[in-house]
Amino acid sequence: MKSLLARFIPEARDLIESSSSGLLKLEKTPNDISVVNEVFRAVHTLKGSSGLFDVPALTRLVHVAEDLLGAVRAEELNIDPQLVDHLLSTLDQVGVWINHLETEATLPEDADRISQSMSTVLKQAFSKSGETAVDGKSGADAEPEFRRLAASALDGCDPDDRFEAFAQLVSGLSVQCVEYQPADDCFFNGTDPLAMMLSLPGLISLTAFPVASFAAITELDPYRCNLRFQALSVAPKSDIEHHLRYELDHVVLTEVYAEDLIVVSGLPSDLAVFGDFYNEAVELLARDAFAQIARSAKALGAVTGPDLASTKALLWLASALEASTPDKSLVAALIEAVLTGTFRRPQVHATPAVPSALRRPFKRALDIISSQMRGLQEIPFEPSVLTGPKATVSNLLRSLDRDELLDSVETAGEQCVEAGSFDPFLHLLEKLVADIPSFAGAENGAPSLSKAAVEQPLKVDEADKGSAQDERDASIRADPKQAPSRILKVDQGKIDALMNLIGELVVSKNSLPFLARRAEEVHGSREMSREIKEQYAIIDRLAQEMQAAIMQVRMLPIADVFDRFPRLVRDLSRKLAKDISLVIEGGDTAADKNIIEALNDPLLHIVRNSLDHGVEPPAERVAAGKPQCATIGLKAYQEADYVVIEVNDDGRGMDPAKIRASAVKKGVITPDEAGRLSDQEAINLIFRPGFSTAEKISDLSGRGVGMDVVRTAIEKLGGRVSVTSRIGEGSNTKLMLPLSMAVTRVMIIEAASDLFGVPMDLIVETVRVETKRIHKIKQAEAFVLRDQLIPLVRMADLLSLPARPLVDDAEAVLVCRIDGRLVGLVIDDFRVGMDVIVKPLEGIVAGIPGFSGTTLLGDGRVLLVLDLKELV
Amino acid sequence: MPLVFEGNVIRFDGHCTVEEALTLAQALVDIKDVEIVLSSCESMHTALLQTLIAGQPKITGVPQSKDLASLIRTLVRSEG
Amino acid sequence: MANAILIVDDSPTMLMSMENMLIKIGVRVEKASSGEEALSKLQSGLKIRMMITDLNMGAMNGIELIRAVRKLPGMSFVPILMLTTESQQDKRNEAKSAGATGWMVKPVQPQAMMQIVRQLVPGV
Repeated sequence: MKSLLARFIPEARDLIESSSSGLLKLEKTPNDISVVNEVFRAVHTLKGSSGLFDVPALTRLVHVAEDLLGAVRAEELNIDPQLVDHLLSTLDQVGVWINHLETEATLPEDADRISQSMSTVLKQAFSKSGETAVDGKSGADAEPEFRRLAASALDGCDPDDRFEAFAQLVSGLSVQCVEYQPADDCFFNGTDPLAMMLSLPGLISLTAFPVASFAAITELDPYRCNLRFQALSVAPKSDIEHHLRYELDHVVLTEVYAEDLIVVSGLPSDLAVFGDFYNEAVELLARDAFAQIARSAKALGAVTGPDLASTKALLWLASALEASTPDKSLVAALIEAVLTGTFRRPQVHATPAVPSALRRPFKRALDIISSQMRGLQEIPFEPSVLTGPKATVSNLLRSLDRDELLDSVETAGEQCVEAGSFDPFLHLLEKLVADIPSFAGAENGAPSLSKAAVEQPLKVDEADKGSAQDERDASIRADPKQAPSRILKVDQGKIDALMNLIGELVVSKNSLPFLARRAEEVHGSREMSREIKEQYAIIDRLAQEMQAAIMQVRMLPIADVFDRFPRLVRDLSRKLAKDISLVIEGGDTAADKNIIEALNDPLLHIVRNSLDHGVEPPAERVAAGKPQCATIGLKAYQEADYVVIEVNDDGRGMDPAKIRASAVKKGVITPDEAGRLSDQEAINLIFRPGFSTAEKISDLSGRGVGMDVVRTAIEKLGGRVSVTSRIGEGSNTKLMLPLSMAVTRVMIIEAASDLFGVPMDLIVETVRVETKRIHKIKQAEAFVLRDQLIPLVRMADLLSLPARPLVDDAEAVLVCRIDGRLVGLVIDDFRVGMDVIVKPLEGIVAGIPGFSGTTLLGDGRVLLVLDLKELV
Repeated sequence: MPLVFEGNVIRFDGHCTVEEALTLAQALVDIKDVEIVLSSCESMHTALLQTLIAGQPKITGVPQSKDLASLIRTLVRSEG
Repeated sequence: MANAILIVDDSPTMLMSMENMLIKIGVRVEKASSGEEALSKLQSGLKIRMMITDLNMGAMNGIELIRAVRKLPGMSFVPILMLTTESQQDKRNEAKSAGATGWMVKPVQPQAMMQIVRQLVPGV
């Protein structure tokens, strides 16, 4: 079971990933049926495999999404950005659950609630689009809503069970009435209807009725099924349908409404207290003082006779008032029942078709307006942003036949422009939210169900937006560690183990030259030495080929990282109200999986900077004569042993003058230094620690948030990062990373009578410098190499160890390029170059500065690899 | 056998299956003052339930499933 | 419980995988690798509490097997499930009218197997 789950988790992530990217494609080309099919299949498979585990909340939610996509596939529903939004956030939620499943093996406690409320949102999206697109064609979903239980349908059901179901319904669950009339020969199919109904999920009550009255026992054929069953269940419809899937032809499911359950019966009474209660409650109801009504009802219900019909009505009333938003018409009907001893259903539901038609547009209206309000509250004022909300609200008012209010929308819009704020428009929306219920008529008709439905999406959206969004961006789709690649279906640990073994092989083969030397020097056999060297050459070649092959296995397309960005850019640009198109090139460029995985965060940082600070708001772009839609480019290509990734934007670019000023202000450099910097050097200041981490620098045109972090991360991977920028034209960030990083080529050097490794890629050349050519300038030393003065650093000094005395009159100098500057390292001697696996320092030596790791030499010695950047 | 016959008492024991429905129906006809004991009944097939409903025998004891118990209570007379 | 669940499939892998699932639930398993074998086992007196059969098998397919089994004495009320693939949905109704209780979609997952067996066989 556990291993099955372990297999499911990466599969689920793949499916989420591919359906998300499919959805984004669909937003651009909604009619591409092949993409629709692709997304549908992915979601379908996800639902299917999730069903293997005990994660009903997840399965249910995915099921609803699948239904929606099925409707899209059947062309009953049109893809629009809002639908895509809903589906994407559904997939995000599923992703979060998958993460939880991976660590905890269960869903979080709130999963049921979230699943329920998100399903509601999705279903609304369905009925909404379904209705506007092709009225009434949303068949499967619309039909049950119109089917209502007859008033006497539940007469056979125990009043206590009805009361319990009512309480569940009031608390927000939906209640289904399951009617099952099995075929009379069903026993001969191995079907046991009673067993099936007793194990029905969410069962609250079960009743059975004879289909035809039973014959005398002497005439009875016990093998003809003559019973039909009726049950109330609080399980989701899909769960019930799944449970009864073999018998669905004989099953009718009907959604139960609160008033279907209420049954008030008992002895009549004309006690004056009930009259008093009625008068008081009616008055309280007019003021929406639900809590007070509930208190009085409970108090009175506790003292009046339990067999009185009025007392029963009081109990139902108290229960109805437990709802977070009690249904006013229902409460009114129950208050009346306290007085009269009989319950009359509220008028709204008298004819089944009407209430749905009435309720739907107007609960949707509230929903739409609320979402517009939230949208506007979150972003800074920008006149162009208003166009959409204005059109939406106007259309809404037209659909509600409130054309007379259209002018007020226009007026509010104008006031906004004058005031430079969204407030006037927001005030109008608040007023509409307050007024809309009255549009529906005097009975104030939304039953508690629809109210709850309006409130739930609010919660979902709030969780979705706000400051948590950024972390979610990062945690959900930006962390490649959580989303194994599509290609590497092998357990990563196995590849790593293979890699380590080959690494060991590469290292052990390095012992052969030592052996050859011993053969010659100790045993005096030049012949043996030669043979060993020949064999070494062969093994060396094979090892290299093997290493290349395994590297190839570890290579992943950079698209694995890039694929996350369309979604990020889309979400952020919507949020920032910027118009941005993302152009991706070279996604098939491959690099080692460690590189790909580590690339994600830095790249995310850079792209976010471009979005936040680089790209101007549309109005500013137009004013600057640029196209309103900005372009951000992500480009990858291979250059020699490096993979290069460029992020460019056509935003406002960086202003070197402002960067200088800001750097001086922050104390990163002195004003003097600032004056001497070239423009490019000034731009490079953004990589300095302390420059950008302080507060936010959005006032500083361009970018720079946390670029020192980016640089550190990239350099840890053995890469380089550079930024170029032109004011007004945009910026370009270039990352260069080694294609693979598992094996490092180092040169072994002798210094302070010990051996050390120096990464080969830092070494420019090795020279022997006669002591007389070394110039002493004050304390410092330097020498001239091809007309260039190169400062010298003595390795022994850096290591605080004594140097080996000079044998002849020349120093061994390793010329290295460190942070773009040439430095000569004076060492005792050079040794060979060698491929090694560098392992990080562990245990008590971990964290000692100046060393990047250790490696095992062919003769078994441990070699410390120097971290020159830190040492020099 | 899940249906245990002891004089005029038929005890439902454990999971009572469809195959016994005919025996039960015959017993309800044959045994005078028949009494059904359900206290150790874990489950019964639909066929047995409807036979009980048709025969309306005297029932004592309550089956373990609360939902089954309430079905029997409403559909089969419990006392003489 | 004494009586076993009979599984019928011409793929030894499927048989083994289902057997493992069923054993984990705690039921005894009888296996047959063809419809004919299943039928002859039942004819020679094998008592079972449930049968699960594949649809596509050599000479006698699942539906034919179900029809034949339902005619055997003592097999009228035994739950029978037929294994289908996602694409054989049209065969489900045919199976039901031949006397199947229901169906399971291949590949069968342990969770689904457990649920359905517990639902159809009381006391498992």
